[in-house]
Amino acid sequence: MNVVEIESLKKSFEGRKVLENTFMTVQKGDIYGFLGPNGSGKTTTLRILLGILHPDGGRVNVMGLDPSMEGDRLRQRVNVLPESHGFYGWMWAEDYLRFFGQLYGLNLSAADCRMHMEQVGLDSADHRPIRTFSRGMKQRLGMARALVNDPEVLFLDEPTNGLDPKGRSEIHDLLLHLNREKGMTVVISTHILDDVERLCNRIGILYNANIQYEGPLFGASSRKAIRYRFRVAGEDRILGQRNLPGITVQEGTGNWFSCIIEDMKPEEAIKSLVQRGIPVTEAIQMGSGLEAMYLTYTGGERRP
Amino acid sequence: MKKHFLLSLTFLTIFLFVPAMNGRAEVPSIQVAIDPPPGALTMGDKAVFQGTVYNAGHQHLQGLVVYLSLVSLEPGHEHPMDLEDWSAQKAIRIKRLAPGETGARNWSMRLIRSGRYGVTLTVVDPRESRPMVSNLIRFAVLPKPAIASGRIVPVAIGEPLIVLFLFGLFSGLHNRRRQTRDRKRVRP
Amino acid sequence: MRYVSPLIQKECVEDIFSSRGAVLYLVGCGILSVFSLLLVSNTELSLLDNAQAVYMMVGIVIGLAVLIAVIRGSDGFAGERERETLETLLTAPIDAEDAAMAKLAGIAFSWLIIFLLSVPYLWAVGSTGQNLWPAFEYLFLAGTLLVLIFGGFTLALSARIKTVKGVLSIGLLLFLVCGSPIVMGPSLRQSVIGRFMDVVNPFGVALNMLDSVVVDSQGILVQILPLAVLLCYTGAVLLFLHLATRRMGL
Repeated sequence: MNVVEIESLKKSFEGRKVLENTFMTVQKGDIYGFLGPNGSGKTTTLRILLGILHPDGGRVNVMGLDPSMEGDRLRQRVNVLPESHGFYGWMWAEDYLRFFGQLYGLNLSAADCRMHMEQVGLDSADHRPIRTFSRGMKQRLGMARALVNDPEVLFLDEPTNGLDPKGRSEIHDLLLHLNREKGMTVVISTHILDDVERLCNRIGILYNANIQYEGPLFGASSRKAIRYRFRVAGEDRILGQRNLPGITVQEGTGNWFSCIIEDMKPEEAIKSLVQRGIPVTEAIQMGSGLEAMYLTYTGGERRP
Repeated sequence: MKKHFLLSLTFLTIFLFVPAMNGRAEVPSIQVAIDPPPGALTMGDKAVFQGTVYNAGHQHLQGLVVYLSLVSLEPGHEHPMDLEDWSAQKAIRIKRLAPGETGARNWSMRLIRSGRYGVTLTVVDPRESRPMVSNLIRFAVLPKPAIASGRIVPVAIGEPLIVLFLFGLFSGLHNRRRQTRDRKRVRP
Repeated sequence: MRYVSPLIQKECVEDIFSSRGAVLYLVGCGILSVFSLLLVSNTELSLLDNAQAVYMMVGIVIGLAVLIAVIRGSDGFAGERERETLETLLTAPIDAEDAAMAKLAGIAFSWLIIFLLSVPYLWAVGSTGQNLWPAFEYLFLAGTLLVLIFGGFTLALSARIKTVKGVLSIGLLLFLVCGSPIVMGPSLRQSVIGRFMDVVNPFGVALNMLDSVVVDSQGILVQILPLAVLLCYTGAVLLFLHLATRRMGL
């Protein structure tokens, strides 16, 4: 069952097309990694999904509701941690959570607030105004606020910003726990590919106003997919070999070609190419599969 | 007999003509008068006094200076008043006054304090050695209910201090209540 | 279901707990104190009768209230945008119009505090004279409407203009233009421009209404037209606020 469906979404700002004919699908129970370069339209998409920005065209459906028409009903059931999120500095953490809980119709007790804060690793005995919090503490408090209404779908925009490695690990564990134990669907917009590789089962790559790729994260495990660049003699021969088992040939320049190798060792891949009459004279590993895929689909291919 | 007749005639001449000559010399060429405003005067009112200067002589008068004087006539506290706060009009100059002509001017005065007062008008002719002064107009300025300064000063000084105190107290109590609540929670 | 009362509570409480609120109210008290002390120490002012003194003080109270309403209205959405709290707020199950109503309620709460602070001053100045209770009633009425007009207008502007500085510039300019009747002399107010301003300017309408109640002791029937004018302005501003927040951007 799809909890998020976007069809032919369009949005422009001052004549610049940010989203054009964009499609996106998030299934129930997914941890969906939403990737794309800076300014590609990820935050715009999230805002449209929440109903705080209106699209210029297309159809948007979140849990059966149109965000533009039923935004307040939708936001009762979802929550978001935006990338830029300020706080009311004069409030204390407990007041802040209680205030936002009240906006969702929840009357949070002190124990409830304490539970939410401890869940994200905030010291609940820390009694001082939010304006004195560090960046990492504010990020954790923002996460606690995003969970205050126990949302069915959680949208996160750079959730591990400002967190140290321990904090990042704690947030990862929390999200995995919420997804597995409570069935929460999570959509994460981030640049940190490690986070995506650890958490997500599906990804969407947004570039040039469109989703360039949407699907599983390299099948069973992304770690088994490696990107290689091969230098070959006779480039026209490799171009005709697009359906080699375990080897996905992408594009190339001159006699260098990028390939994604899955479920085989690099030497096996080279042997396979040579057996098919494609002499490989040089091979360079270019990084993990996700990074490779990201760079490929966003035009940021690395050169040797 | 003739000697007695001549002596009597001399004395008669002196008595008849000298007084007449003296009388003619004592008639002033300038006559000045001032009239008070009608009705009761209350503190804060703007009173208008009408002054007149009459040229009773046979010659043209030029460059007359006319000014108002105010004195307090409170028994035991008689003193001249500074017109600075009472009236913007002080001295005026009459450029030229023909024989038989009357120059009339109004002096307006703001009655800024209650009490008993007297006002006169004085005319100075540059060619004469003695100024001419009008009759003294006595008038009373009645007091008026003014703003109760006894209430204003405590409020004006006290209220900002109370507001400052209340803000500080409220903020401090709120923070202390929260810290007490947190301390109770930390202790098992 | 939308829960707006927590928002209203937050807007009201923020005024008291933040240092900004405390400073504004203390400055207001200071201005009223200075004027009160001038009434007893300055020769010219001490000659005013009670009604005149009360009328002048009521004008100052209204001026202060409108100024604070303009400042708070300017900060309403533009301030939240600059502090990056607006997006988080709008991701709750409320919409921008709910937030606008809550902020307007917060501005009205500020006015309530100013009114209560002014009561002792007005009592001290006018208790021995005439029309003190009508002064309180009409001050509250006119003040509330003026605060809604100016506060609502600047709040609507802040929904559309991105920066507090931009909104505040317009708001203060409007305040100066509308507040000019206070500093205009009688001869200027009798001119064509002065009379035009008296009719179209809500500030001028309110001051004239208070003049007729406090100084001239005129009754409710005479106040119907000025009240109607103020209510029309209030309605127009609320409509503008509704339209400005309907599709508010971040």
